[in-house]
Amino acid sequence: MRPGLVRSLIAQRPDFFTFATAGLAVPAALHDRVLSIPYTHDAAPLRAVAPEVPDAFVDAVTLTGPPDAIAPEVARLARSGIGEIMVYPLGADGRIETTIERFQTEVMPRVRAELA
Amino acid sequence: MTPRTGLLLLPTYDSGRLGALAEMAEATGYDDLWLADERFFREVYASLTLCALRTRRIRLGPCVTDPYSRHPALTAMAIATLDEISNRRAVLGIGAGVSGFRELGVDASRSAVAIREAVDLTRRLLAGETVTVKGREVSFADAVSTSPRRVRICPSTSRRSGRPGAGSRAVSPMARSCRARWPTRSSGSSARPSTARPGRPDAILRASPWSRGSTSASPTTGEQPVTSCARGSCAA
Repeated sequence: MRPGLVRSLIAQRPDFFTFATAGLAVPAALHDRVLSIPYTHDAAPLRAVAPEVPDAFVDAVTLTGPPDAIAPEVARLARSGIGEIMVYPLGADGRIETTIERFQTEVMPRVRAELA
Repeated sequence: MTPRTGLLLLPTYDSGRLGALAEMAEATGYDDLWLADERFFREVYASLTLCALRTRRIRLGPCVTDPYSRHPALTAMAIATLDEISNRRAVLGIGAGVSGFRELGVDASRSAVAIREAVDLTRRLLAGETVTVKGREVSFADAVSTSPRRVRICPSTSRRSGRPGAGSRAVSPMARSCRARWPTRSSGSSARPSTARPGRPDAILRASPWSRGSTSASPTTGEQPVTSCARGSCAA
């Protein structure tokens, strides 16, 4: 997850819009390193910087936890007026299938119940 | 209203796994399958074609393509072909893009203008017009697409991209042009009612779980999108 966040930060130079909107300032050390890397999906340079990414940045762009914890967050997004929730699945060791299936079979029924 | 659900994947998977993921997305109930159009992975339209052939219901599209890595006329051709192969299930997400530009030698600094011009050209070609345009970023001379297709085009933004201020004003005119000149496509054979509402723009915005308490999904324009991305870093 964290290397992906480094990639996201690189993509959002120079203003780091998503994180700025979340009220998060990029720490100076991380800022300098992010500015020094060209945009890439190559894992090695991203992994080297990943430990610098604070937990708050991870929390700001992910929903993690059991379905009962995630469903209210999805419902809150839905109430903002958007028409589609797009899932970018993460999973331990790249095993995304469980995330894909459980979001639809366990989270969304709870979301529908909450919105009903 | 319950939102649609989409699954966004980066095309890093071999064809066997991608096909299985597409089948799983459809079987579990996702409405849309989106593949990132990023460099340099598996090619997005070839991958979408594979997914189309393994599914029957789910809507398919790039999330998102851009005006630079492929001329918008070629994008129109590609999405029209996907729409034909998939029996009218194609949808086109288009934004500024980010990956591969340095390697390709592309100057993407005027992305707001380029997206607007690309959406306009793509829409006209998909409508079957013979088009000649000389824009600031996109030009095209005297050609027509092979067959008109009704493909929904969703401009995308996530940030103040490019030069300061450019991106913050970009999505509004893009979304407006999309709304004003392109009819909302019906939900086709799907039993689920379309979430697209007349008079509302289609736009893919990168919202995130951070937007606590916000009633607007678009911090930059206040536009109410019909499509969004619940992640801070999806492909653009």
